[in-house]
Amino acid sequence: MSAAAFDHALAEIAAGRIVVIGGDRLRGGDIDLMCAARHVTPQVINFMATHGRGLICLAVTPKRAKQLGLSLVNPGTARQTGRPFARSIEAASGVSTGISAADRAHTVAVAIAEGASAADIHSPGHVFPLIAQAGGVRARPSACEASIDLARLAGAGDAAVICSIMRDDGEMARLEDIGDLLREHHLAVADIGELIARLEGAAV
Amino acid sequence: MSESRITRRALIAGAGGAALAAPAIGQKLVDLGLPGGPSLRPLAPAFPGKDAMIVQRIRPPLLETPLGVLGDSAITPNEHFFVRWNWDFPTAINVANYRVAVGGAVKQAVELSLDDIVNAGEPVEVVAVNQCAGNGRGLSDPRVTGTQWGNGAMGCAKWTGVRLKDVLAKAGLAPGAKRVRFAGLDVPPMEGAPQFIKSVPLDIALRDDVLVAWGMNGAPLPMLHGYPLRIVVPGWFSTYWVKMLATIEVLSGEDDSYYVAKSYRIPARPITPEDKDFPTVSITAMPPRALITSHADGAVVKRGAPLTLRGLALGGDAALSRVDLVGEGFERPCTLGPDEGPYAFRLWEVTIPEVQQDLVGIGVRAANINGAVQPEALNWNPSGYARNVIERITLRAV
Repeated sequence: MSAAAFDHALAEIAAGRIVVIGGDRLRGGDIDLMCAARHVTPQVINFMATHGRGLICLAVTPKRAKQLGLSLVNPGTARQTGRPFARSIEAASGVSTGISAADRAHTVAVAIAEGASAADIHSPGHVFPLIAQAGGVRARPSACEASIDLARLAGAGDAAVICSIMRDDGEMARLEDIGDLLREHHLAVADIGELIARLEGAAV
Repeated sequence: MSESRITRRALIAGAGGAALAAPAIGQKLVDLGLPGGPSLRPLAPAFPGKDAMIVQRIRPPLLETPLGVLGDSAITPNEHFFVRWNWDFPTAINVANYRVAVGGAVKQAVELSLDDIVNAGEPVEVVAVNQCAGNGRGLSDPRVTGTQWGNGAMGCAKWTGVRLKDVLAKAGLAPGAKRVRFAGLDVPPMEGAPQFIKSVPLDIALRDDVLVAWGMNGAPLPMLHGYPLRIVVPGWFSTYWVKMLATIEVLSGEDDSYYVAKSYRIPARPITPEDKDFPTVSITAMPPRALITSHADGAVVKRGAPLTLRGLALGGDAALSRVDLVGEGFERPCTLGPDEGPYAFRLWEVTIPEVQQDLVGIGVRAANINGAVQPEALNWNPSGYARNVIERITLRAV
């Protein structure tokens, strides 16, 4: 992946657009749609539910998780799914049944608000928080951590909504399956390997 | 490599043509009998040059041959031959401008026209099975990720071409040549995704039956099968049979490209689904396989009457030696049909004189002349490659 292509993906994230994260090393090659959490709208959630069709998750830092009173459902090392799930959440107020695109976008907005606390969310709900490693994508080269580091690099906060992409036949998509989606919606691809190289280059 | 990339881009630009239009999918569905996940797939005839095929993906196309059709003949007709592409490919090729770049560790890099290649050596015909490394993946239990093929991601054709070694001779191998890598005109539509390039060791590349082919069953290669040229490696899985050939690159070292070093790999030793972090090797030669195609699982047969079962088999990377019908407490040798060569499908049939009861869990077991025999248990691996467990069905006697 070229530096220019990666910069383009960052610019897209900064502008509030959805990008695709590729190169996850912990989830068997699954790929994800990603949008910086601060830019999430009902339209973004609807796009993910329509074209991603995986679980729509909110990736947050350990600091934010603590602020919201969230902890890992399974803190052990033998997690099966590759996703560091906390218990699911819903905004404490302002939602109806919680599942509509508008409701989920609202829950995301409440959860990432500056002064948000445990009192602002209920559980269970229809948004699935993921708690990233403090060391970010360099500590754990997976989409959860990558989405937060991508948002940071783009200057778009430190939380992101991600959704894995499923094929029509129910199999999890690879990049080779989504050419039409990329073309039709002009989606940029951000590669986790390139992200790590960029962060390590900056750290030197 | 950068030079050959430029050549590839230029070729694509010269090829022109619109992207393959997505065919309308009919309502007819086929049940692949997959143990996990959605099992129904549309059966569509709408791809160019194709009869009814099981549609696993529209673009880039993944089309599977219905099993009943596969068993009709040792040679699979082009219109029924399975299709597998990793990335989008041109739908028009300007043959006048078409060139294959031969470079890397060679004495003299050359760009060869279609005529240059056709005239590079004597024409050779090989009848050989072309099988996806992931054929039958969808039947894996526990299930694995990837395209959920039934057993129809294979076919057998008569391939016509020239020897790869005659094409390589046009450039001449440089000292230290170790592998030969192929790239086609199919390219990823996004930056950051690996190009589909594959390489074989030099001793394989120089085999007398490894071809740069332009003919498939007496016709020019159809677009969906890699017009105008593809690599043919009899006995090896189709991942090496690069289509729409654009470059031939001689390597003097190992191949660290994605589809060789990272993908299309199997555990070096048998593993269980719980195993993590195990050494892997590239998937290369095919093991023997046999399928019953005359009867589907659960079919009803007549009690008290003779029953003839039919199907096909392949020896893999060596000639088939025998096929046996196996069931609970019995084995019965099958009669083999005409021999089209060591790498071809071979039809078989066997007659049970009198069906007395349900035939529970019967299957056919192929062996090749090197002593490889289909195993009783699935050689499970996380990508579902090289399936060759004995496939079993149950027939109800009524």
